[in-house]
Amino acid sequence: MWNIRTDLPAEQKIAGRFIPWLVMIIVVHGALGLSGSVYLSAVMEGWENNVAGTLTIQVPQSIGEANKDSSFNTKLSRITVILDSDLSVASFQIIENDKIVSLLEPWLGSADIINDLPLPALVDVTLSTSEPETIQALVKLLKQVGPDILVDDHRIWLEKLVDLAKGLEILASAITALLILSLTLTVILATRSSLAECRQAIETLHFVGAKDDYVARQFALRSLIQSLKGGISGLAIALLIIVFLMAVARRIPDGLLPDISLGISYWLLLSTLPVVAGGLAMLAAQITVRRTLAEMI
Amino acid sequence: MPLDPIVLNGVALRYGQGPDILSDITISLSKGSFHFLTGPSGAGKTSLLSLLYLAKRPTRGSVWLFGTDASAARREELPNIRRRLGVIFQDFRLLDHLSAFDNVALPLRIAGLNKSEVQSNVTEILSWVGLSDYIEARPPVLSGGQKQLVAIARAVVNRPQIILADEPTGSVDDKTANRLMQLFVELNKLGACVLIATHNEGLVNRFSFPRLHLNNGKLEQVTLN
Repeated sequence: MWNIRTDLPAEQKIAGRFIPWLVMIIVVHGALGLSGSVYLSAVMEGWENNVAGTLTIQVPQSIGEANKDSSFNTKLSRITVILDSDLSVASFQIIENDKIVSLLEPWLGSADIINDLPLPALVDVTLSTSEPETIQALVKLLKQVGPDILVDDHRIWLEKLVDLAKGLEILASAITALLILSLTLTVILATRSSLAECRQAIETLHFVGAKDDYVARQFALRSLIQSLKGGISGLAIALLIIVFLMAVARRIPDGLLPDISLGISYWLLLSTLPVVAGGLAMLAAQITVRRTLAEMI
Repeated sequence: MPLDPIVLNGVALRYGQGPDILSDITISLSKGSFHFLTGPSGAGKTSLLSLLYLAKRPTRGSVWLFGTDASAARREELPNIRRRLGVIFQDFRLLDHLSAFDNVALPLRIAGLNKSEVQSNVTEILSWVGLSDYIEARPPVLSGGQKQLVAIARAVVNRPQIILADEPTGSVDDKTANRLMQLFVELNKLGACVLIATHNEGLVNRFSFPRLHLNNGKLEQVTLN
């Protein structure tokens, strides 16, 4: 399948033989980078869906007083009334103390110790709007219940995550650009080296009537085949790594990461990487040959 | 526009800042003509042929091929002119990684003939030069004479209108040399303009064709043997 008839002699110098290996490495990096980008976008979308349009209200207890402090209960009641009557609130739920204890247990130890702590009351609120002004008005109203009331709309946390994700995406794009540049430069250098090596053969082809196009096509085809070989190998390696990472990810406890399923478009995109690498190599070879032949012969 | 297939007008050739290798060459070779190009070593025979197969452009003057000023043609136009030439190089210029068949097939594949046309033309021409048994052989395993025959077969397979040969009998014995000359005569009879550069006086004397004699880059005389 890989043996195409060509008038060009086989490459002797190492530059040309190196291309399949380089393309393999580039496709592995490209596939992992692409997968990371896609997964990160999906995670961000999942987080955003989970936390956008929600509020968490903390009603702290004063230190040294019992759980049934009347001031604490009054604040909680007032908050409940506000939430009940506000149209921007779709639903709300006061988190049971037992649930708070179970959430803290992995970090703080036994329930006995935690029960001695003055835990705040937590109210989980689902909003019916995403209008920032409406949400801010509700937050202001809730804070009027008491200066120690904490209302978290998760925006700060989410914005920081979004910034981090954007930064990682820019980094991924920069790395991808560098990989493309590496491949292009390697093909250009290997092609020029090959042209010098095959100079006499190319001259002979020209003297029997070949146009530059005829020679350029053969170099381009050779580059394409070399790159496809490397690209397919790279994709196979990348798939093994991705499958392994997915198996590891499945072992992470529920809730820590959103439930992500990578659709068919992701797998299709991944499968195009060898073709993209091959196309790029072919184009670089064609352009290099045409430019160099004009100087050579 | 000249009608003869080969016309040189005041052609000179110099390499870099050196002296003229060829100077003031003016000649016209008509369709169906047959000439020997003679002269001592270093006279400029190979250089003159290199101008004719467009490997070089003249320093002065013009080279007209098939009515076109080839010396002023754009690079993209040269292949179409070259496809009407058949060139036998002094060093054969065979591609060692290709078989005799593939070497001879080159001009046909470049011209875009299909597989069956290539097959039939190449097989016929290799049989004509007596190399039917060496179709798959590569140049490194062929003798000097056999390489010469492959080079000739490649030059003539596409029925060129001009045949340029640089010492085509240099690597063969007299018997083979005579046979090769008969091939050129046959092609000439079919209408090709033939120009053979040689310093083999015996060969030139055996065949009564006009001679162009080069000496120190100048064309001294045209004689009919």
